[in-house]
Amino acid sequence: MILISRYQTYFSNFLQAENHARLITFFCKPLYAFLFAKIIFLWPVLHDSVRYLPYEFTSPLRHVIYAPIKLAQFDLNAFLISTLILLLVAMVIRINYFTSALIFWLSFNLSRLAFPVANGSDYVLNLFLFLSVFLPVAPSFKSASLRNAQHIISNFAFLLCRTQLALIYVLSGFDKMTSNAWRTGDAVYSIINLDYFINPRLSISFNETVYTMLAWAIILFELSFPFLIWFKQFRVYVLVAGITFHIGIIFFLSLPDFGTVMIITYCLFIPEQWIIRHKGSCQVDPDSYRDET
Amino acid sequence: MKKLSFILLLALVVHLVVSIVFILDPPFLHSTRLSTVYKTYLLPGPFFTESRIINNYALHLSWKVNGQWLPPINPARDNFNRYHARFNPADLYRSRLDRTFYLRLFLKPGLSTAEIKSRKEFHQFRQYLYDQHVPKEADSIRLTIINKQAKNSGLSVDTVYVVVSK
Repeated sequence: MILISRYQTYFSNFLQAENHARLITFFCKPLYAFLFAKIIFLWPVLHDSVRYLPYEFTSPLRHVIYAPIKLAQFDLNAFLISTLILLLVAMVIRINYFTSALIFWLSFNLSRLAFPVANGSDYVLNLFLFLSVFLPVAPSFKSASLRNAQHIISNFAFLLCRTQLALIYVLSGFDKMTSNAWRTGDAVYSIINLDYFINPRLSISFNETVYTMLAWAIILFELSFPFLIWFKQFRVYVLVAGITFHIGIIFFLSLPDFGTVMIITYCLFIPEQWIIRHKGSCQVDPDSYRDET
Repeated sequence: MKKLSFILLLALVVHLVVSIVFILDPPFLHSTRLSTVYKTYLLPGPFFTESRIINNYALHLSWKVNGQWLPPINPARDNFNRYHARFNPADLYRSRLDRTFYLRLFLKPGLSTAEIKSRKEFHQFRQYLYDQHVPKEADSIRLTIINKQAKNSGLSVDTVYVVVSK
Protein backbone atom coordinates (compact mmCIF):
# COMPACT_ATOMS: atom_id res chain seq x y z
CA MET A 1 0.00 0.00 0.00
CA ILE A 2 2.88 2.32 0.92
CA LEU A 3 4.57 1.45 -2.38
CA ILE A 4 1.41 2.27 -4.38
CA SER A 5 1.03 5.54 -2.52
CA ARG A 6 4.68 6.40 -3.22
CA TYR A 7 4.28 5.71 -6.94
CA GLN A 8 1.09 7.75 -7.03
CA THR A 9 2.92 10.69 -5.42
CA TYR A 10 5.81 10.28 -7.87
CA PHE A 11 3.35 10.21 -10.78
CA SER A 12 1.49 13.29 -9.49
CA ASN A 13 4.77 15.16 -9.13
CA PHE A 14 5.72 14.23 -12.70
CA LEU A 15 2.41 15.53 -14.02
CA GLN A 16 2.75 18.79 -12.07
CA ALA A 17 6.38 19.29 -13.07
CA GLU A 18 7.47 21.90 -15.57
CA ASN A 19 6.09 21.37 -19.07
CA HIS A 20 8.47 19.83 -21.66
CA ALA A 21 7.80 22.70 -24.07
CA ARG A 22 11.11 22.54 -25.88
CA LEU A 23 11.05 18.76 -26.27
CA ILE A 24 7.46 18.90 -27.49
CA THR A 25 8.44 21.40 -30.18
CA PHE A 26 11.54 19.40 -30.98
CA PHE A 27 9.38 16.28 -31.36
CA CYS A 28 6.29 17.63 -33.19
CA LYS A 29 7.92 19.81 -35.82
CA PRO A 30 10.14 17.04 -37.26
CA LEU A 31 7.01 14.87 -37.45
CA TYR A 32 5.33 17.60 -39.49
CA ALA A 33 8.44 17.96 -41.67
CA PHE A 34 8.45 14.19 -42.21
CA LEU A 35 4.80 14.22 -43.27
CA PHE A 36 5.53 17.16 -45.57
CA ALA A 37 8.36 15.25 -47.31
CA LYS A 38 6.25 12.10 -47.47
CA ILE A 39 3.45 13.93 -49.31
CA ILE A 40 5.92 15.35 -51.84
CA PHE A 41 7.31 11.90 -52.64
CA LEU A 42 3.89 10.23 -52.58
CA TRP A 43 2.28 12.76 -54.90
CA PRO A 44 2.56 10.93 -58.27
CA VAL A 45 1.79 7.52 -56.76
CA LEU A 46 -1.25 8.85 -54.91
CA HIS A 47 -2.82 9.91 -58.20
CA ASP A 48 -2.67 6.31 -59.42
CA SER A 49 -3.76 4.94 -56.08
CA VAL A 50 -6.86 7.15 -56.08
CA ARG A 51 -7.57 6.36 -59.71
CA TYR A 52 -7.15 2.57 -59.71
CA LEU A 53 -7.87 1.69 -56.08
CA PRO A 54 -10.49 4.24 -55.02
CA TYR A 55 -11.57 4.35 -51.41
CA GLU A 56 -15.17 3.24 -50.90
CA PHE A 57 -17.31 4.72 -48.14
CA THR A 58 -19.05 1.67 -46.69
CA SER A 59 -20.73 3.18 -43.61
CA PRO A 60 -22.14 6.56 -42.50
CA LEU A 61 -19.43 6.84 -39.83
CA ARG A 62 -16.74 6.60 -42.50
CA HIS A 63 -18.26 9.56 -44.31
CA VAL A 64 -17.41 11.61 -41.22
CA ILE A 65 -14.03 10.11 -40.29
CA TYR A 66 -12.79 10.09 -43.87
CA ALA A 67 -14.42 13.33 -45.01
CA PRO A 68 -11.10 14.76 -46.33
CA ILE A 69 -10.91 11.77 -48.71
CA LYS A 70 -13.99 13.17 -50.44
CA LEU A 71 -12.02 16.31 -51.21
CA ALA A 72 -9.07 14.17 -52.33
CA GLN A 73 -11.29 12.16 -54.65
CA PHE A 74 -12.76 15.37 -56.03
CA ASP A 75 -9.42 17.15 -56.44
CA LEU A 76 -6.33 15.40 -55.14
CA ASN A 77 -3.99 18.29 -55.85
CA ALA A 78 -6.17 20.69 -53.82
CA PHE A 79 -6.19 18.23 -50.91
CA LEU A 80 -2.42 17.76 -50.97
CA ILE A 81 -1.61 21.45 -51.42
CA SER A 82 -3.88 22.48 -48.53
CA THR A 83 -2.28 19.82 -46.31
CA LEU A 84 1.18 21.06 -47.25
CA ILE A 85 0.21 24.66 -46.46
CA LEU A 86 -1.16 23.60 -43.08
CA LEU A 87 2.07 21.73 -42.32
CA LEU A 88 4.17 24.75 -43.29
CA VAL A 89 2.12 27.00 -41.02
CA ALA A 90 2.32 24.47 -38.17
CA MET A 91 6.10 24.28 -38.51
CA VAL A 92 6.36 28.06 -38.12
CA ILE A 93 3.84 28.83 -35.39
CA ARG A 94 3.65 27.56 -31.82
CA ILE A 95 2.40 23.99 -31.31
CA ASN A 96 -1.32 24.23 -30.54
CA TYR A 97 -4.43 22.07 -30.31
CA PHE A 98 -6.03 23.18 -33.58
CA THR A 99 -3.17 22.56 -35.99
CA SER A 100 -2.16 19.36 -34.14
CA ALA A 101 -5.67 17.91 -34.37
CA LEU A 102 -6.10 18.93 -37.99
CA ILE A 103 -2.73 17.49 -38.99
CA PHE A 104 -3.53 14.18 -37.30
CA TRP A 105 -6.91 13.99 -39.06
CA LEU A 106 -5.43 14.78 -42.46
CA SER A 107 -2.50 12.39 -41.96
CA PHE A 108 -4.90 9.62 -40.91
CA ASN A 109 -6.93 10.21 -44.07
CA LEU A 110 -3.81 10.38 -46.20
CA SER A 111 -2.71 6.98 -44.91
CA ARG A 112 -6.12 5.55 -45.77
CA LEU A 113 -5.88 7.07 -49.21
CA ALA A 114 -2.36 5.72 -49.68
CA PHE A 115 -3.04 2.31 -48.11
CA PRO A 116 -1.55 0.39 -51.07
CA VAL A 117 1.86 1.90 -50.26
CA ALA A 118 1.44 2.26 -46.49
CA ASN A 119 3.70 0.44 -44.08
CA GLY A 120 4.61 0.48 -40.38
CA SER A 121 5.85 4.05 -40.62
CA ASP A 122 2.30 5.27 -41.30
CA TYR A 123 0.96 3.59 -38.17
CA VAL A 124 3.81 4.93 -36.05
CA LEU A 125 3.41 8.43 -37.51
CA ASN A 126 -0.35 8.50 -36.95
CA LEU A 127 -0.05 7.16 -33.43
CA PHE A 128 2.36 9.92 -32.42
CA LEU A 129 0.43 12.60 -34.32
CA PHE A 130 -2.66 11.50 -32.39
CA LEU A 131 -0.86 11.70 -29.05
CA SER A 132 0.63 15.05 -30.05
CA VAL A 133 -2.90 16.51 -30.09
CA PHE A 134 -2.75 16.43 -26.28
CA LEU A 135 0.80 17.74 -25.97
CA PRO A 136 0.27 21.49 -26.45
CA VAL A 137 -0.93 23.89 -23.79
CA ALA A 138 -1.98 26.54 -26.26
CA PRO A 139 -4.36 28.20 -26.52
CA SER A 140 -4.61 28.20 -22.74
CA PHE A 141 -7.70 28.68 -20.61
CA LYS A 142 -8.19 31.82 -18.55
CA SER A 143 -9.07 29.89 -15.41
CA ALA A 144 -6.02 28.90 -13.36
CA SER A 145 -7.40 25.45 -12.50
CA LEU A 146 -8.19 24.66 -16.16
CA ARG A 147 -4.73 25.85 -17.17
CA ASN A 148 -3.30 23.53 -14.57
CA ALA A 149 -5.37 20.66 -16.00
CA GLN A 150 -4.02 21.45 -19.48
CA HIS A 151 -0.54 21.30 -18.09
CA ILE A 152 -1.16 17.92 -16.41
CA ILE A 153 -2.70 16.44 -19.57
CA SER A 154 0.24 17.68 -21.63
CA ASN A 155 2.72 16.02 -19.28
CA PHE A 156 0.65 12.84 -19.28
CA ALA A 157 0.55 12.78 -23.09
CA PHE A 158 4.32 13.26 -23.13
CA LEU A 159 4.77 10.30 -20.78
CA LEU A 160 2.37 8.27 -22.92
CA CYS A 161 4.40 9.08 -26.06
CA ARG A 162 7.53 7.77 -24.37
CA THR A 163 5.67 4.70 -23.10
CA GLN A 164 4.29 3.95 -26.57
CA LEU A 165 7.74 4.10 -28.10
CA ALA A 166 8.98 1.63 -25.48
CA LEU A 167 5.97 -0.65 -26.07
CA ILE A 168 6.59 -0.70 -29.84
CA TYR A 169 10.02 -2.16 -29.13
CA VAL A 170 8.70 -4.62 -26.54
CA LEU A 171 6.12 -5.87 -29.06
CA SER A 172 8.65 -6.22 -31.89
CA GLY A 173 11.33 -7.77 -29.67
CA PHE A 174 8.91 -10.23 -28.07
CA ASP A 175 7.50 -11.28 -31.45
CA LYS A 176 11.00 -11.93 -32.79
CA MET A 177 12.02 -13.87 -29.69
CA THR A 178 9.02 -16.18 -30.06
CA SER A 179 9.69 -16.67 -33.78
CA ASN A 180 11.71 -19.69 -34.79
CA ALA A 181 12.97 -17.97 -37.94
CA TRP A 182 14.41 -15.10 -35.87
CA ARG A 183 15.93 -17.33 -33.19
CA THR A 184 17.72 -19.46 -35.77
CA GLY A 185 18.83 -16.51 -37.90
CA ASP A 186 16.72 -17.62 -40.92
CA ALA A 187 14.89 -14.30 -40.80
CA VAL A 188 18.12 -12.35 -41.36
CA TYR A 189 19.10 -14.76 -44.16
CA SER A 190 15.68 -14.19 -45.69
CA ILE A 191 15.92 -10.38 -45.47
CA ILE A 192 19.36 -10.44 -47.08
CA ASN A 193 18.48 -12.87 -49.86
CA LEU A 194 14.90 -12.13 -50.85
CA ASP A 195 13.79 -9.35 -53.21
CA TYR A 196 12.41 -5.99 -52.11
CA PHE A 197 14.30 -5.79 -48.81
CA ILE A 198 18.03 -5.50 -49.15
CA ASN A 199 19.74 -2.84 -51.21
CA PRO A 200 20.40 -4.65 -54.56
CA ARG A 201 23.74 -2.86 -54.92
CA LEU A 202 25.04 -4.78 -51.92
CA SER A 203 26.33 -8.29 -52.17
CA ILE A 204 26.30 -9.76 -48.68
CA SER A 205 26.87 -13.34 -47.68
CA PHE A 206 27.59 -14.70 -44.21
CA ASN A 207 27.71 -18.10 -42.62
CA GLU A 208 24.86 -19.39 -40.45
CA THR A 209 26.54 -18.34 -37.20
CA VAL A 210 26.71 -14.71 -38.30
CA TYR A 211 23.02 -14.75 -39.32
CA THR A 212 22.11 -16.12 -35.90
CA MET A 213 24.29 -13.58 -34.11
CA LEU A 214 22.80 -10.69 -36.10
CA ALA A 215 19.27 -11.92 -35.37
CA TRP A 216 20.00 -12.16 -31.63
CA ALA A 217 21.66 -8.74 -31.60
CA ILE A 218 18.45 -7.27 -33.06
CA ILE A 219 16.27 -9.18 -30.58
CA LEU A 220 18.41 -8.08 -27.62
CA PHE A 221 18.45 -4.48 -28.80
CA GLU A 222 14.66 -4.40 -29.20
CA LEU A 223 14.09 -5.99 -25.81
CA SER A 224 16.63 -3.90 -23.90
CA PHE A 225 15.76 -0.53 -25.46
CA PRO A 226 12.38 -0.14 -23.70
CA PHE A 227 13.97 -0.72 -20.28
CA LEU A 228 17.37 0.97 -20.55
CA ILE A 229 15.97 4.14 -22.14
CA TRP A 230 14.36 5.15 -18.81
CA PHE A 231 17.75 5.29 -17.04
CA LYS A 232 19.68 8.50 -17.60
CA GLN A 233 23.07 6.77 -17.41
CA PHE A 234 22.18 4.47 -20.37
CA ARG A 235 20.01 6.83 -22.39
CA VAL A 236 22.64 8.34 -24.69
CA TYR A 237 24.16 4.94 -25.52
CA VAL A 238 20.76 3.42 -26.21
CA LEU A 239 19.79 6.36 -28.44
CA VAL A 240 23.05 6.10 -30.39
CA ALA A 241 22.54 2.35 -30.81
CA GLY A 242 18.94 2.96 -31.93
CA ILE A 243 19.90 5.65 -34.43
CA THR A 244 22.58 3.35 -35.88
CA PHE A 245 20.04 0.52 -36.06
CA HIS A 246 17.49 2.65 -37.89
CA ILE A 247 20.05 4.21 -40.26
CA GLY A 248 20.90 0.59 -41.13
CA ILE A 249 17.20 -0.01 -41.85
CA ILE A 250 17.09 3.09 -44.06
CA PHE A 251 20.11 2.21 -46.18
CA PHE A 252 20.24 -1.58 -46.17
CA LEU A 253 16.58 -2.54 -45.90
CA SER A 254 15.03 0.06 -48.21
CA LEU A 255 12.70 1.48 -45.59
CA PRO A 256 13.58 5.19 -45.46
CA ASP A 257 10.18 6.22 -44.13
CA PHE A 258 10.11 3.72 -41.28
CA GLY A 259 13.71 4.35 -40.23
CA THR A 260 13.25 8.12 -40.31
CA VAL A 261 10.03 8.21 -38.31
CA MET A 262 11.54 5.95 -35.63
CA ILE A 263 14.58 8.21 -35.34
CA ILE A 264 12.27 11.23 -34.99
CA THR A 265 10.48 9.58 -32.08
CA TYR A 266 13.82 9.47 -30.26
CA CYS A 267 13.43 13.25 -29.79
CA LEU A 268 11.15 12.29 -26.90
CA PHE A 269 14.15 11.07 -24.97
CA ILE A 270 16.72 13.69 -25.93
CA PRO A 271 18.10 15.27 -22.73
CA GLU A 272 16.42 18.68 -22.46
CA GLN A 273 19.76 20.37 -21.71
CA TRP A 274 20.90 19.56 -25.27
CA ILE A 275 18.04 21.58 -26.66
CA ILE A 276 18.55 24.43 -24.18
CA ARG A 277 22.12 24.69 -25.47
CA HIS A 278 20.65 25.24 -28.94
CA LYS A 279 17.92 27.54 -27.69
CA GLY A 280 18.62 30.16 -30.32
CA SER A 281 17.85 27.80 -33.18
CA CYS A 282 14.92 26.23 -31.38
CA GLN A 283 12.95 29.50 -31.22
CA VAL A 284 10.71 28.49 -28.36
CA ASP A 285 9.71 30.77 -25.58
CA PRO A 286 9.61 28.43 -22.59
CA ASP A 287 7.87 31.03 -20.43
CA SER A 288 4.89 30.97 -22.72
CA TYR A 289 4.29 27.34 -21.71
CA ARG A 290 5.06 27.60 -18.03
CA ASP A 291 2.16 27.22 -15.72
CA GLU A 292 1.41 30.48 -13.99
CA THR A 293 -0.60 29.10 -11.11
CA MET B 1 -6.15 18.12 -9.64
CA LYS B 2 -5.48 15.11 -7.41
CA LYS B 3 -8.54 13.42 -8.88
CA LEU B 4 -7.36 14.09 -12.45
CA SER B 5 -3.90 12.72 -11.63
CA PHE B 6 -5.47 9.59 -10.16
CA ILE B 7 -7.69 9.05 -13.22
CA LEU B 8 -4.68 9.45 -15.53
CA LEU B 9 -2.62 7.04 -13.45
CA LEU B 10 -5.44 4.52 -13.64
CA ALA B 11 -5.70 5.02 -17.42
CA LEU B 12 -1.96 4.47 -17.81
CA VAL B 13 -2.03 1.28 -15.73
CA VAL B 14 -5.01 -0.10 -17.68
CA HIS B 15 -3.33 0.76 -20.98
CA LEU B 16 -0.10 -0.96 -19.91
CA VAL B 17 -1.95 -4.09 -18.79
CA VAL B 18 -3.99 -4.25 -22.01
CA SER B 19 -0.85 -3.65 -24.09
CA ILE B 20 0.99 -6.46 -22.33
CA VAL B 21 -1.96 -8.78 -22.98
CA PHE B 22 -1.84 -7.91 -26.69
CA ILE B 23 1.95 -8.31 -26.77
CA LEU B 24 1.58 -11.81 -25.30
CA ASP B 25 -1.08 -12.33 -27.99
CA PRO B 26 -3.31 -15.08 -26.54
CA PRO B 27 -5.10 -17.06 -29.30
CA PHE B 28 -8.60 -16.15 -28.05
CA LEU B 29 -7.92 -12.48 -28.86
CA HIS B 30 -6.54 -13.02 -32.38
CA SER B 31 -9.60 -12.19 -34.43
CA THR B 32 -11.44 -9.80 -32.13
CA ARG B 33 -12.25 -6.26 -33.26
CA LEU B 34 -10.64 -4.79 -30.14
CA SER B 35 -7.41 -6.61 -30.94
CA THR B 36 -7.41 -5.34 -34.53
CA VAL B 37 -8.07 -1.74 -33.50
CA TYR B 38 -5.57 -1.81 -30.64
CA LYS B 39 -2.82 -3.42 -32.67
CA THR B 40 -3.37 -1.22 -35.68
CA TYR B 41 -3.72 2.18 -34.09
CA LEU B 42 -2.43 2.08 -30.50
CA LEU B 43 0.27 -0.55 -30.56
CA PRO B 44 1.69 -0.65 -34.09
CA GLY B 45 3.80 -3.63 -34.92
CA PRO B 46 5.36 -6.09 -34.68
CA PHE B 47 7.60 -5.27 -37.61
CA PHE B 48 9.55 -7.76 -39.76
CA THR B 49 7.35 -10.64 -38.64
CA GLU B 50 8.28 -14.13 -39.80
CA SER B 51 5.26 -14.48 -42.09
CA ARG B 52 6.16 -11.30 -43.97
CA ILE B 53 9.82 -11.92 -44.58
CA ILE B 54 10.13 -15.63 -45.25
CA ASN B 55 7.97 -15.53 -48.38
CA ASN B 56 8.38 -13.19 -51.28
CA TYR B 57 6.27 -12.88 -54.42
CA ALA B 58 7.33 -11.39 -57.74
CA LEU B 59 5.24 -10.61 -60.80
CA HIS B 60 6.63 -11.08 -64.28
CA LEU B 61 4.60 -9.32 -66.93
CA SER B 62 4.78 -10.22 -70.59
CA TRP B 63 2.63 -9.23 -73.57
CA LYS B 64 1.98 -10.63 -77.02
CA VAL B 65 2.51 -8.60 -80.16
CA ASN B 66 1.99 -10.07 -83.64
CA GLY B 67 1.58 -13.56 -82.18
CA GLN B 68 4.87 -13.41 -80.24
CA TRP B 69 5.37 -13.15 -76.47
CA LEU B 70 7.93 -10.49 -75.60
CA PRO B 71 10.49 -10.94 -72.78
CA PRO B 72 8.87 -10.41 -69.37
CA ILE B 73 9.40 -7.33 -67.20
CA ASN B 74 9.14 -7.02 -63.42
CA PRO B 75 7.81 -3.49 -62.80
CA ALA B 76 7.99 -3.62 -58.99
CA ARG B 77 11.57 -4.85 -59.12
CA ASP B 78 12.52 -2.24 -61.74
CA ASN B 79 11.14 0.57 -59.57
CA PHE B 80 12.84 -0.88 -56.51
CA ASN B 81 16.19 -0.90 -58.34
CA ARG B 82 15.54 2.61 -59.62
CA TYR B 83 15.07 3.77 -56.02
CA HIS B 84 18.49 2.41 -55.12
CA ALA B 85 20.02 4.04 -58.18
CA ARG B 86 18.50 7.51 -57.57
CA PHE B 87 17.48 7.42 -53.87
CA ASN B 88 14.15 8.96 -54.79
CA PRO B 89 11.49 7.59 -52.39
CA ALA B 90 8.84 8.14 -55.10
CA ASP B 91 10.33 5.12 -56.93
CA LEU B 92 10.00 3.05 -53.77
CA TYR B 93 6.36 4.07 -53.34
CA ARG B 94 5.75 3.16 -56.99
CA SER B 95 7.34 -0.25 -56.37
CA ARG B 96 5.08 -0.78 -53.34
CA LEU B 97 2.01 0.16 -55.38
CA ASP B 98 2.98 -2.30 -58.11
CA ARG B 99 3.38 -5.05 -55.51
CA THR B 100 0.15 -4.26 -53.68
CA PHE B 101 -1.81 -4.67 -56.92
CA TYR B 102 -0.80 -8.28 -57.35
CA LEU B 103 -0.37 -9.30 -53.71
CA ARG B 104 -3.96 -8.37 -52.83
CA LEU B 105 -5.11 -10.47 -55.75
CA PHE B 106 -2.87 -13.51 -55.76
CA LEU B 107 -2.36 -14.03 -52.04
CA LYS B 108 -6.01 -14.86 -51.40
CA PRO B 109 -5.92 -18.58 -50.61
CA GLY B 110 -7.60 -21.17 -52.78
CA LEU B 111 -8.49 -19.05 -55.81
CA SER B 112 -8.36 -20.64 -59.23
CA THR B 113 -7.05 -18.74 -62.22
CA ALA B 114 -10.60 -18.37 -63.56
CA GLU B 115 -11.78 -16.96 -60.21
CA ILE B 116 -8.89 -14.48 -60.16
CA LYS B 117 -9.75 -13.27 -63.64
CA SER B 118 -13.34 -12.65 -62.64
CA ARG B 119 -12.52 -10.45 -59.63
CA LYS B 120 -12.86 -6.68 -59.59
CA GLU B 121 -9.27 -6.34 -58.33
CA PHE B 122 -8.01 -8.15 -61.42
CA HIS B 123 -9.74 -5.70 -63.75
CA GLN B 124 -8.34 -2.74 -61.79
CA PHE B 125 -4.86 -4.27 -62.00
CA ARG B 126 -5.18 -5.10 -65.69
CA GLN B 127 -6.25 -1.53 -66.45
CA TYR B 128 -3.28 -0.21 -64.45
CA LEU B 129 -0.85 -2.46 -66.35
CA TYR B 130 -2.25 -1.43 -69.72
CA ASP B 131 -2.05 2.25 -68.81
CA GLN B 132 1.43 2.05 -67.30
CA HIS B 133 3.42 -0.68 -69.02
CA VAL B 134 1.72 -2.55 -71.84
CA PRO B 135 1.89 -1.01 -75.33
CA LYS B 136 -1.36 -0.42 -77.24
CA GLU B 137 -0.46 -2.91 -79.98
CA ALA B 138 -0.36 -5.81 -77.47
CA ASP B 139 -3.28 -8.21 -77.86
CA SER B 140 -2.76 -10.28 -74.68
CA ILE B 141 -0.86 -10.09 -71.39
CA ARG B 142 0.63 -12.88 -69.31
CA LEU B 143 1.14 -12.56 -65.57
CA THR B 144 3.44 -15.02 -63.86
CA ILE B 145 3.60 -15.00 -60.06
CA ILE B 146 6.75 -16.51 -58.63
CA ASN B 147 7.16 -17.33 -54.96
CA LYS B 148 10.59 -17.28 -53.36
CA GLN B 149 10.87 -18.82 -49.94
CA ALA B 150 13.84 -18.71 -47.59
CA LYS B 151 14.25 -21.59 -45.16
CA ASN B 152 17.17 -23.29 -43.44
CA SER B 153 19.61 -20.90 -45.07
CA GLY B 154 18.43 -21.82 -48.54
CA LEU B 155 16.02 -20.51 -51.18
CA SER B 156 13.22 -22.29 -52.99
CA VAL B 157 11.54 -20.85 -56.08
CA ASP B 158 8.08 -21.83 -57.27
CA THR B 159 5.68 -20.56 -59.95
CA VAL B 160 2.35 -20.01 -58.20
CA TYR B 161 0.12 -18.62 -60.95
CA VAL B 162 0.22 -18.04 -64.68
CA VAL B 163 -2.66 -15.91 -65.90
CA VAL B 164 -3.19 -15.00 -69.53
CA SER B 165 -5.69 -12.28 -70.32
CA LYS B 166 -6.84 -10.37 -73.41
